[in-house]
Amino acid sequence: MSSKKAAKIKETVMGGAVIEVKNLVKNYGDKPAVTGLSFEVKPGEIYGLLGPNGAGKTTTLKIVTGLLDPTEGDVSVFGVSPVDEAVKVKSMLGYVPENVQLYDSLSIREFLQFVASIRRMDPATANTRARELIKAFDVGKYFDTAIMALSAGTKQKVAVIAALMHNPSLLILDEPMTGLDVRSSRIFKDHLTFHIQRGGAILFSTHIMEVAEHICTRVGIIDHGKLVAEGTVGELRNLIHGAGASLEEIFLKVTEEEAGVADTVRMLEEAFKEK
Amino acid sequence: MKFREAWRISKTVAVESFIKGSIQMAGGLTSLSAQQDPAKAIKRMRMSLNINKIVFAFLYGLYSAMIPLMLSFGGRGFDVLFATNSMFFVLALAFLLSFNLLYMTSFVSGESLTPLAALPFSREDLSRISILSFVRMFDIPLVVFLITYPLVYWLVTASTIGAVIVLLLNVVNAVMAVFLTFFLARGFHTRILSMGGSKAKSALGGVLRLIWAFGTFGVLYLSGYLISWIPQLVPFFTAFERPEYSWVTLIYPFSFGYLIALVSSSSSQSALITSLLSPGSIMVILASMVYIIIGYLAYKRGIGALRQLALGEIEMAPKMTPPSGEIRISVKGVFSAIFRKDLKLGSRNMAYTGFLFMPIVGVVMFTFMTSTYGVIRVTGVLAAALYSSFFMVFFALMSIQFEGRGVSVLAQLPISVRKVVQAKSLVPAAFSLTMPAALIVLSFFRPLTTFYSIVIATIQVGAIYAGSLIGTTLTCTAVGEGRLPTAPLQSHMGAYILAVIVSSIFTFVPIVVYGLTYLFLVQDHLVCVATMAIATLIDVYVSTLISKAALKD
Repeated sequence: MSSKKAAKIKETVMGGAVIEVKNLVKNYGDKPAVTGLSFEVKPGEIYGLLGPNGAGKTTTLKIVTGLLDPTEGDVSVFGVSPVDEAVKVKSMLGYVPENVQLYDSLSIREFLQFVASIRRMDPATANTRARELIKAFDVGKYFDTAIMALSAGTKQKVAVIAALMHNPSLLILDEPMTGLDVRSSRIFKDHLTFHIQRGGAILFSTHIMEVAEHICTRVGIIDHGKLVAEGTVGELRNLIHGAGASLEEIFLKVTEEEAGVADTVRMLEEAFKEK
Repeated sequence: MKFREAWRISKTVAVESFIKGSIQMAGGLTSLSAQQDPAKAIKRMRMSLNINKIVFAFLYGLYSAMIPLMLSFGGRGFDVLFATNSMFFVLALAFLLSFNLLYMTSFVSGESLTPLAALPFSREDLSRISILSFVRMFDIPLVVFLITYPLVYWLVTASTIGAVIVLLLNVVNAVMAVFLTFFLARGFHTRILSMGGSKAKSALGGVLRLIWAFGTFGVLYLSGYLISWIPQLVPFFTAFERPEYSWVTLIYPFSFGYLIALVSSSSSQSALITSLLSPGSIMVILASMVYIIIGYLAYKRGIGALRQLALGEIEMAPKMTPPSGEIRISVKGVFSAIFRKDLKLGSRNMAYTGFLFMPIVGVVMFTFMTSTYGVIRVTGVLAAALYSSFFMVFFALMSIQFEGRGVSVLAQLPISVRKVVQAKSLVPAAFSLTMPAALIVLSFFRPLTTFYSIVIATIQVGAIYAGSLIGTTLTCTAVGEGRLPTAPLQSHMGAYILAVIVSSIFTFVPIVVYGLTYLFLVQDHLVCVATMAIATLIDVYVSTLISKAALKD
């Protein structure tokens, strides 16, 4: 991490948080997606944003990255507003979207060249990092193949490489493990740990409770666009279910879906009783 | 499965193909959810599909009616009928090929039959649904196309049997066109679209794309002029009756034209029988039968291919390419990176690659047209510039569309929309430089009336940049609300048409200024070129000002 970046992070630590979201509201027409969400991500932590489908996770991440404008509320990344200075914010973070969408007719080489050029990376650094990441994620054999011909998992790896290549202080990852094989998934998780050990920060969204439980230093559970619980997994355990509860149980409890799940399972069993 | 059921299901598949194809070509599947009202966007896209159908039906109808109507200029003898029918089949094949190639992408990228594959349908059911869905994408234009020519032919020649044979052979021709489209599309993706490799291989790829451009767009230009040339072409066709040229009548689709002319021009039944029994006619009939059998086989094979395409079983993607040399990336400047990326995306897109070569195609076509004067005239250059400019600004607008799913990548990167738009406008401008270059090359074969023709073509590059800049700025403002639009342009038809009109005006102004100066002020090329240059500078200045005001840096 460069001294400039480290200074920026130090400055942020003194100021409080890498990401600050206050009373965030986002409506799509009349449809509310996020309703008064507030949370913070501090340096050195992986903040997991959990929630059922349609809870507003992806919308929140898109607003933080400057891809969407909020309807109301304040968002800042390293003290910079993604609404007013989206380009500056984007230069400080790496983002892996939920649905990885790349340039299908470019090869991996051409795609990484494009990303490195737009990010104005130093050619020598870009080459060293690209080479190592390509080796780590084992995509070298596809280096000159058009992205459209690659499997979903390989495309996901390319998106991860593109997000990591410029070594950003902040990573925003929306379901990043989707499609990754066991080896790549492990390497990626270890790299994320290394990233926060050096003072970086990660905002992470996932449906997979096991991943969240093992990776996240703190989680925020959102439902219907609102934060319904926040803390470390241990804190949430103590607060809600007591020792031994899994994150899945905590999640179902706070989203008030525990009873609903039990009822639904009973109904399904009833419906499928007849062979 | 009953035909009615397959027909009903095919409607859903066809509409889904169009919408899914459009969305995937534009911002990816998540883009609609970010819009204000996805239901409205889908409704607009359905409307856009219907408008497309009506426009194509009108074009096909007009085109199909024009050729037989040209008979009135050349009489109704055997030679005229032979020439007319042969030209129709040649041009119909080329015309259908061009449009099918442009619209094949929707059907291919849709993979809309995939959800049905999990349901208990047989392969035959899926084949039937896929062919009906494909037909449905072109239903109105196809019906208009198949019926108009035989109908007008019958009205003009009063030959019922001739019109029936025309209808039958028209169907065979359409099937051949669909079949050829499929193979050309596959050829484009697997052969022309190659990655990596040596510089010689890349150069060969460029040449193949130029041929592709001439094939897909040149034919559209040519068809318009060939129709008016039919009377002049008649004497050329009489040569085919001479023994040394008679083999040409056995070639597809001249044999169709010959057969129909034979049937339609006979004065009586006995005369028809006599002419049909001549050795030459028997050979032509046999050749036509062979082509009909090939058409039938193409249909049978085409159904299977369409089903596989719709299910995504046939990969319309380039093959895996082994890495060429070491793992190394070359980092460029921001503008250069966007320029190169757009160039690659455009030249690797089956529907849009031809646009990049339009300046060359335009110059060659228009100077070819004015060849009767033996020199390259300024009027021909102005016309070529006008036509090429339209395609180039259209390419700039399309460069937002063919960002495809990658538009979200660009949105994530630290670059302002204004810079992206500026870089995008440089691609058509740079390719327009091939216009003066082509003129210089052509001037070795045919003299220019004035050196200023090359200056005109060079100045027009600035106008193309201005038109592209204003068009892409308007698209980002109206469709993307100041960002790169992730919504398909088809869902904002009004804004899209406005962008096409405004950018065309910006691009045409310098040519119009040149013309007006020459016609009403002074017939001096130097003065006209000077006024054109001033108009272009104003064009560039105004478009840059508007772009700066409309988009954030």
